[in-house]
Amino acid sequence: MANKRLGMVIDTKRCIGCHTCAMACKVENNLPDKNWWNRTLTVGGKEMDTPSGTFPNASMSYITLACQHCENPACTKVCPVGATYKREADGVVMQDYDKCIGCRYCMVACPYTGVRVFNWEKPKYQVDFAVGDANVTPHQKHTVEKCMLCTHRLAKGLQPACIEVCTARARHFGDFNDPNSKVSQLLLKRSHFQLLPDKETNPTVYFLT
Amino acid sequence: MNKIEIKTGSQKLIAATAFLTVIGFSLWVYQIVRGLFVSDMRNLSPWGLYITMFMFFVGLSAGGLIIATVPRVFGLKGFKPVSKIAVYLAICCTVLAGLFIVVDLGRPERMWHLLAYSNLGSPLMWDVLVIPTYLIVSTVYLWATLRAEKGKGSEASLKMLSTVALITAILVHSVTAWIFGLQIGRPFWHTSLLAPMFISSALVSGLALTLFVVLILQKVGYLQRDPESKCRMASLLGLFVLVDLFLLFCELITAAYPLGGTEFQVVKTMLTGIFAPMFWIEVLGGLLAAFLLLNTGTQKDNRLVGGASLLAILGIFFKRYQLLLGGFQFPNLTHFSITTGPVAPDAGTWWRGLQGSFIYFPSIFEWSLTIGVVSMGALLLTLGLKYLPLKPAK
Amino acid sequence: MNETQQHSRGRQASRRTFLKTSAAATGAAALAFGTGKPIIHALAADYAAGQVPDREEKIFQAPCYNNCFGHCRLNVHVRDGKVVKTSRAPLPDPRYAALDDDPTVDDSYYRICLRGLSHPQRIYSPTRLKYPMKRAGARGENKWQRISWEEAINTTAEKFTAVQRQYGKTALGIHHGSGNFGTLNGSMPGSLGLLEKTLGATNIDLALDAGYIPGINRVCGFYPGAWNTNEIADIVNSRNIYVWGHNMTVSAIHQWHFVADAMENGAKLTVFDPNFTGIAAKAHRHVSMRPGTDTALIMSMIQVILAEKIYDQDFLLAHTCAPFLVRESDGMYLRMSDMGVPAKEGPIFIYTGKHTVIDPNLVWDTEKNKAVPVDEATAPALEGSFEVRGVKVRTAFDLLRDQVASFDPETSKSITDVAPDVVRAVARDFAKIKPSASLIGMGNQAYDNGPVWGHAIATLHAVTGQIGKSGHALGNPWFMYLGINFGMAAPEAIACIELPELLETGKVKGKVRPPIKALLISQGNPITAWVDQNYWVKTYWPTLDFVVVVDDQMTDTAQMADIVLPKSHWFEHEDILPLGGTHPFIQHGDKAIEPLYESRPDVDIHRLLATKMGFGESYAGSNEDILKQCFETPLTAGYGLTVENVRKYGTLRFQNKGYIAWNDLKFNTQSGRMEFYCDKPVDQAGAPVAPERTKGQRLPTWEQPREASVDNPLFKKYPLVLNSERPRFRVHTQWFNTEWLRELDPEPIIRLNPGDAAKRNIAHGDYVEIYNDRGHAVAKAVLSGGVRPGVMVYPKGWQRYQHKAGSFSELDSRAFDSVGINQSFFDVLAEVRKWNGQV
Repeated sequence: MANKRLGMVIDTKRCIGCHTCAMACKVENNLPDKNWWNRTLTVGGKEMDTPSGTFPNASMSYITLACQHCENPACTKVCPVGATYKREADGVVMQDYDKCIGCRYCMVACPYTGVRVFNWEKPKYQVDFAVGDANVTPHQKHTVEKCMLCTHRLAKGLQPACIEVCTARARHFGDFNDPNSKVSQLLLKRSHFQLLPDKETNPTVYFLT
Repeated sequence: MNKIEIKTGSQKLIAATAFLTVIGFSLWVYQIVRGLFVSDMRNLSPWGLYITMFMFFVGLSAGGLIIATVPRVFGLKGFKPVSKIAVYLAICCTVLAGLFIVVDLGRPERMWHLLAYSNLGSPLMWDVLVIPTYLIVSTVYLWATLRAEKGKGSEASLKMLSTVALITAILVHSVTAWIFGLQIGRPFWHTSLLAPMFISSALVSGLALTLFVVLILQKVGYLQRDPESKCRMASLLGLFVLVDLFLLFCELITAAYPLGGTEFQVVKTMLTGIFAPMFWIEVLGGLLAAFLLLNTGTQKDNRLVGGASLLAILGIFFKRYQLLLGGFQFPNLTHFSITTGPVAPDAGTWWRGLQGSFIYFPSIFEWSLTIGVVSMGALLLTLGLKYLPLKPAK
Repeated sequence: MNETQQHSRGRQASRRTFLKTSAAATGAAALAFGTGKPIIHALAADYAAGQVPDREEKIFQAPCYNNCFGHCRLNVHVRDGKVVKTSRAPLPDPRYAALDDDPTVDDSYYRICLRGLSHPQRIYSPTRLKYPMKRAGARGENKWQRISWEEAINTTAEKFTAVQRQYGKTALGIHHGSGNFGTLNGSMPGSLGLLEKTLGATNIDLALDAGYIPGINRVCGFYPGAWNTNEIADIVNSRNIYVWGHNMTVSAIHQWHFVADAMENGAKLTVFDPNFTGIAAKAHRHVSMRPGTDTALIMSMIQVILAEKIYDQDFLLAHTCAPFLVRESDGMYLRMSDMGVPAKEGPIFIYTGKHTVIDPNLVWDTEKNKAVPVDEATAPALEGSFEVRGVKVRTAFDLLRDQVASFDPETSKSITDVAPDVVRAVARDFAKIKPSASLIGMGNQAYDNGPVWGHAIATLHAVTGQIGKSGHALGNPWFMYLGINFGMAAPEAIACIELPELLETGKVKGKVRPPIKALLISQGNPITAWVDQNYWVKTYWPTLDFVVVVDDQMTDTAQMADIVLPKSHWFEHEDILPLGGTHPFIQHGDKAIEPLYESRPDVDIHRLLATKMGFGESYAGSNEDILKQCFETPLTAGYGLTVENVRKYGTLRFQNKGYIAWNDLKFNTQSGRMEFYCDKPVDQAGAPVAPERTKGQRLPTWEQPREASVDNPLFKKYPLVLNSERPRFRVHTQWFNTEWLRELDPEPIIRLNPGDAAKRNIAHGDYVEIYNDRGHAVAKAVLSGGVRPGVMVYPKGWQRYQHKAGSFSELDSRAFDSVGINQSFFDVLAEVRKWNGQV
């Protein structure tokens, strides 16, 4: 069976920067305080929800940013112990907490600002028991972590947590190697871009414009 | 200056550096327990002073070995009286470079993973291989030199060893440069000139450190004064500084000439932006040092030569620090977003306020731990000088 | 197979059975509801949308009961007796899936948001109120002493009884906010209404977000709750969407995807807002006007439409008051009763239970050349002056044209600052592109001129005939009827903003009544949510003998209480959400976990209190009985909406898919037509407006905002209009200390136009003080090119302690319009300066 190339298509025309996908990720994966694997970026001014330009010639849009699950990841190459690696079967870029030695080279190598987080201390939580999915790997101090496309949900035949919650119906998930998948079809129909194409990483996250 | 004074002086030095080393070790333990949170490193600036010091000490380690081996390899007039000290200095610096990597690791107890799960494609793995090699080669070289002094071993085998050591040294600097220079994701680093520049900077800082240590040792009477070889070392250092500055210039003009694009922005930041103070200390200090070192009038003055050496070392330190910061200071995606992970505390705010805002400034804890590690190097050096037969053979 | 899955299959199996019975029930229900033909659909609460319970996990379902009007249906995941997460639960339109066996699920109303996802943190919040407490310091000092429930109830009952004995029954006020719309434990007329009724207390009404309801209802007729408009899913059929004062991409995020669909279908989106908002960033066209001047803009649009004769003449003649004859002498309609045919009693109006009046209007028939009852006219005149039995009359259409005549785009620009060609373009588009829709937010009603704005926008739809079909909208879908038992209400109600008048004069609307001396507050945080905080804290609260607050967090209001009672979280009790908000479903809420600590469901608190005060018989039944008593009315029964059914099926749709408001074009006015001319205008409470204002309220009228106007002398001192935003990080003041949300949105900010900031030497990130004569607030300055010059915008809902100093609510004016009887949150002038660090 051919390998899958799982990824996302995010419609910037629809995205309203509501942070719901970020929150779903946060809860589902029981992320420690202050850690976000998925974030909303305002494409505009220098603060959240401010446009570029001045009234009345302003413009503003949003992108959401998490691991791009690149075809040619910069991170997996540099990890000295193979703690971050690309799964062959579906292309998910994984992060093995048990292997990680905490050198943070992957964070340094990744061109996509802030998609990886390091637990700089023992993970702290607002709620004193593990929230989210029971099958999420517990977080460890001094290891690097990031979006893994909710592999615990993929294993159950579900989509990543950030997809179905999208209030704007802007997020789509699927297999780019399947020409009939919704994500493949969307790329055929709509103009789109990848983030930082000049970094030659070929992300599997596409943004529709 | 009599021998008693030296003895008590060295004992005091050993006690002081040992004390600081113990403190440094305790701080490291504290850092492991409390978490790297005690540093000012954060998710958008995941490396900091420790990695800077790693780069810096890899560079410092170069000088000694190059001074000791280059003349032998190419059959030039060498600096025989100081070559053993230079090699030992290199060993100490290499140990420190390795230690700074360990100090920076989040899970040092998993270091065995490096051997068990090696990813040979990682530049860090290359360094993991090449630094111990370098350490071993240096040690063997020192051992062989000592043996040669006692008339054992052949000059040919020593020359052979010199060649191996030299190649290893060049590899160490290149590999360390490639840890940074191969990263397409960090425009500030991504240049093919980085490895040559690392070598030239290593020559500068390594030779400057050796020269400085030699001057001190001469002053305290450990070594005999040798104005002729000092002047030659000074001239050589001056030359290295100029070469290093030339490479820097090549890099800058290539990046700046288009007058646009990311790389031009990088140059602008260095020349007039938040890195300007460090950059100009590095450049002007370098030029001043080169003048003092090359000018036959000033190169005779030990204090001026010592000062120039320190200036050269400082310049290289700034270069390293600036390189590291530069990798993080300009994120590729600059759109506003919430910060992920904890925010750096306000320590260092005064510094950030001084010059724009740096994405990272080492916390007091990091400085303290760094002093502890460096003290260990000083301790190693002092112990070596005291207990190893590093004095020139009479 | 675990319990949950079995449970879900059980529901699945019985879905079809129910649909059969519901079809019968619908057929039997002869009540006309709105103008649609509602069908109730039961939904199998299966977890289709991708929820596979984890090991040891149980999934319950409950709605988000709060007032963002999203009312998302949530899966509540419970592991080891604790709520570990929430997820999006199905809220499908079942007509395809169930009736046609089409496996395609329409997930239009499947929804959840960042707040709904953060429930675990709300439930297990470290600052949650755990047990009853009484004040241990002065009011507002926030010093507390733990007490038993027994002591809390005894003291409360004693104090309430004493106040009622001394001042009269209605001296006890019960105020509820909109924090929970549950029947048993929320603010809808349910158990709380029963308590008000039982104790004979006064309902202190919210009086907010309702400013333009009198205006719209004037034209379309009374509608319970708010207004009647098409189901939001129908907006996808619109070709031209005007969004008014509605930053839906921030404040009502679940509506946006329908509009996005419409845009993908080719609809043109125009946003009318002083500021460049999130939805403006998505729009084809953003029309920015001076704050509070939209009424003049709409009147100008009407002027263009009438002048260019691009109005819908057929619609005007057939479905509006346009041809009705109006007496020149007193502005009253000419009716058959004027011709000697007495008015008759009509059928009962279901929403009020009162008889309607049949007294047909007269129109001028150009063929018969005389005035005839409207139904008999074959060729009614749209325009003209006539004489009927010596009485001079004109058509309502003529009066409207006269009214807007002076609002040509060139002239209106001096009021609105909108370019004439823009006004003409938006007017022409609205008249010509069919179907066009107006989606209305809370912005326009937040000024004192809200009612006239409502009147104007409804008139715009009347003259263009943009109503009653798919793709139309006039308002925002608020499905809040059916399940609400309006009989379950206090005998008397006062709007909260009338309390100062009562305090100062002993009267409300000129009528003497007892003062309010004790208050029971639940589901709300009036100290922060109401205008003019300083007045309530410093002047009003000290006049109260006793205040009890029921909440789960120590809000600003709870801090001003004498006794605080801890309530259970939404997932800790069973309830029915009797309204759909922006979707047409009534929902059952499971009890997922036991109430934490000593907290109790509201209904249990009501029972304890009523029993202690000697009215135990009202609460003698079980909660089940009370739920039935409150929820089941003749109206709901007619639609098969019983407690049993709601519980059985989890969710019940009470509208047809694609519900179209007024689709039979029979309006709830006396004439059954859209009456843009209103000879007997009424106010928010349904009472005739004061005689001196009657004339001004008959037609769309331009009224300046009371305060936020450039013509106000105060403008020289306070030249900035203070607008607010309902941020996605809170709902009013709920979620104020949910840390996950605070990580995204840590502190109060104020958005300033960069030019305005520069004039005041304010830089990005400075702490600034926003101030006027009423108070001040300190917040972090965010310079935004999206803010219109002369305007400031703050995201609302912070507690006092979260500001460096002051509170935004201090700045708002408690002056109000006598027609709107509504808090005007935007009708505020203020100034801003760098904060000097003083509190």
